[in-house]
Amino acid sequence: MELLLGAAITLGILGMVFGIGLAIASDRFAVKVDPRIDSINEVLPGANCGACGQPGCGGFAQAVVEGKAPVSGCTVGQAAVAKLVANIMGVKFENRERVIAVVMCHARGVKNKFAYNGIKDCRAANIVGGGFLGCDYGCLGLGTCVEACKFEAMYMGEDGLSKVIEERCTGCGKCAAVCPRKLISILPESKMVHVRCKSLDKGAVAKKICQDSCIACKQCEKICPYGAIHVQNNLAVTDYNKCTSCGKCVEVCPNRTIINFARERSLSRHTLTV
Amino acid sequence: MTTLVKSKLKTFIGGIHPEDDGKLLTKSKKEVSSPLPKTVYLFMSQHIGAPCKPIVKKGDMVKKGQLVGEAQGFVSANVHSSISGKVVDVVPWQHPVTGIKSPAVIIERTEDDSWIEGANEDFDTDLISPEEIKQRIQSAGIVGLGGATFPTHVKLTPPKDKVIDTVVMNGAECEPYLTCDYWLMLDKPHEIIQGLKFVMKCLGCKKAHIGIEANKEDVYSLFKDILSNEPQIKIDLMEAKYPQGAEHQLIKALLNHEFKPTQLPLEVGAIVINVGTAFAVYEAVKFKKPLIERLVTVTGNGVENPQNFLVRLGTPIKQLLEEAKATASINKIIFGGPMMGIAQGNLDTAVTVKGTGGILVLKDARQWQSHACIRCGRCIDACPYGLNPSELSIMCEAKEFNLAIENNVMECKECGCCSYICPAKRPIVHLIKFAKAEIAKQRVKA
Repeated sequence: MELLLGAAITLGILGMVFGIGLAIASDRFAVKVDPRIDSINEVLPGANCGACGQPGCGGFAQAVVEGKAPVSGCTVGQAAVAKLVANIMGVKFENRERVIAVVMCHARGVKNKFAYNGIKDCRAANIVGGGFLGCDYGCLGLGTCVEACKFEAMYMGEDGLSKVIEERCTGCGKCAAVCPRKLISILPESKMVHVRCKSLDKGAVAKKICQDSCIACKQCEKICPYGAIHVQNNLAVTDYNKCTSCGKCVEVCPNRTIINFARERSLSRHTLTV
Repeated sequence: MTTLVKSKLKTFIGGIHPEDDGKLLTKSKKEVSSPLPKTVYLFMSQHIGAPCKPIVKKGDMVKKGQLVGEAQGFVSANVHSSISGKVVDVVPWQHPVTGIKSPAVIIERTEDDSWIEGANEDFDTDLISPEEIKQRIQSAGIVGLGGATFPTHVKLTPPKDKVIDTVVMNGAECEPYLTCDYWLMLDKPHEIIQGLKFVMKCLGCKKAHIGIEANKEDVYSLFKDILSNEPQIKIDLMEAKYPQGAEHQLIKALLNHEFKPTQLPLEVGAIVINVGTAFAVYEAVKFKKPLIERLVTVTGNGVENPQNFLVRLGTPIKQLLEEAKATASINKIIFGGPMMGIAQGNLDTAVTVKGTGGILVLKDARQWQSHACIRCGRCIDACPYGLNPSELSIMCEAKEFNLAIENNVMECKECGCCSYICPAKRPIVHLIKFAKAEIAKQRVKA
C-alpha cells in the first residue's frame, strides 16, 4: 500500500512540474496563427489546383491574409467563394465575372501530313516534324488538355477536337497552359462570339487545308459596328474589350469560322442532359 | 543483335552495332554524280546559333557563291547561294530538321552556273596567318558537317584560359547506312589532311589524331601511307560501334580522356572536327570557296540506285529521289542516319541543309507497338553516357520533369542506342526529347 502511495505521489509531482513547464513554454513560444487563414481555407474549394498562382489552397489563404493576393483570386470558386473570403477579411467584395475556357479550333476535314506513331501527348507530337496535322495551327486532338483538367470539364469529341463542359469549367487555365498550340483562351462567360481558328496561313492555303479556317476575307471587319474585330496576319482577331457579342460577324462569315456560342450552348446543355 | 565480342581496337564503353549496318548498299558505288537543281530553298537557319538575315529580295539576280544570308552575331554562319539564278521569294518554309516554318530564300536557276567573282580562285596558302584562316572559314559559312552544324569559326575561338593541344579528326562515320565520309576520305585524302593542317595552324596545335572505324580499313591504309612521314598526325583504327564518332566517345577512344557529358572537348584540350568539315575548310582557305555543296548518301531499300551525290545546298529531296530511282512503295524517309536522323513528314517541302549527310529511304519501316518497361537493363548497358534510360523514360512518361532533371536527363545526347536496343520498343529518345523541350520551356518562363 505504501509502495503504491509513494509511486502515485511521485508521479503526481512529476506531472505537475511538467504541466507547469509545458504551460509556460506554450505561452512563451506560441506561434501566432491568424484565425482568418483557417476560416478562409475552409471556404476554398480544396482542389489545390494552383490556378491562383499560389501553392495550393492553403498558400492562397495565407497570401490573402498577408495581402499578397486579392480576395477574388480563386478562379475556381469564382464569385461565391470570393464573397465568403471578402466577408472573412472584412472588405467589400466587387463582383468578378465568371471565366471559362474556349477551344479556338473548329477544324473540319483536316488531313494528316504523316502517320504519327509516337507518344500520345500533344506536346510530344508537336515537336515531331512540326506536328502530324495538315494544319500547322490546329488542334492535334491527343487530349493533353483533357488530361490536365482537374475538374473533368473537358472531353475529346468524336470529331477529334477537345470540348469544354462549360458548367464544370472553373477557368483555372491549366488546359490553356499545356496546349502546345495555344488554342485555348480563358474568356468571360458573357463573350459568346469567337473566331474559332488560329491559322496564320494565307486564305487560299488555309481554305485548302481546313473547311472551317479563317480566310482573312475581312467581311467581319467591315460589318462590325464596334470596331472589335480586325484581320491581322491573315487571321481575324477579336478585341474582347470592344466586342458586345452582337453576332453580326457570324452572319457574314463565309466559312463558318466565327461562331455564336449562345446557340451552341443551348445545344450542348441539351445533349449533356440526354 | 549487337556483337559483344571483346576486341583489342580502341573504343568506349556502351554503344551498339547492328549486324547489318547497311553500308554495303553504297560502299561499292564508285561514281559520284552531282545533279543540278532547278530551284533551291536556302534556309536562313542551317546551323546552331542565331539565324541569318536575308540580304537579297524578290527579283534579285544572284551568282553561285554569292552571300544571301548574313550571319547575325558571332555564333551564326553565313549562307551562300548554291546556284546562279533569280530570287523567286523570301518566305517561311517548313524546316526539315525543326519542322517549324522558318525564313528561306528560294532561288530559281538560270542557264549559266558560273561562280561569283573572287570565289573559287587558287590562292597561295603557304604563309597564311591563323587569323586569315579563321576569317576565311567564317566568311565561307562553314559549320560542323558531321550533323551538329555548330559554326566552325566559333570552335576555332577557344576561351583564352583554355589550351587546345590536339585536333581530333572524326572519320568514324558510325551511323549505319551512311558512306558519304567514307567516299570523301577515299576520294580526297590529301585535301582533307591539308584542311586538318589549316585547323591545326589556326589553333597553334602541334598534334592531331585521326580516328577511323574498323569497317573502313582501306581508308585507314590509304591515310597511313600518306601520313607515313608526318609524325605529328597520328591515326588509329577504332572498333566499328555506334556512336564512335560522337565527341565524348571519340576522345575516350583515341586520347583516353573522359569529361562530363555537359562539358565541351576543350575541357580536355581537344577539339573535334569531322572529315567533311576538314574538306570544306580546305576549300574555303585554299580557294575562298563558300560552303554550297556536300556529299549526301541517298540509300535504303526504298531506292533502286542507292549512291552518294554531290548535292547543292537546298536541293529538294524529290529530285534526289528521282535520281536514285525511288520505288513507289516507300513509307519512311529519314534525313541523316537511322539512329539520329529526322523522319520527314512532307516530301514536297523537304530540302537538304548543311547538316544533311544522308537520306535514308525505306519501304518496309515497321510501326512498333510499344509496351511497358520490362526492366531488362539493356538500355543501361548500351547508354554511352552512363545514364539510366529506362528510369528516365518512365519519369518522362509520368511527366515528372524535375525528377528527370535530378537524374541528369539534360546529359542525354539523344544518340538513340537505348531505343534501338529496347525489346519493349519503348520510344525512349522521343520521351526524353519531349521532356527536354518541356524543361526548356519552363526555364524560359522562370
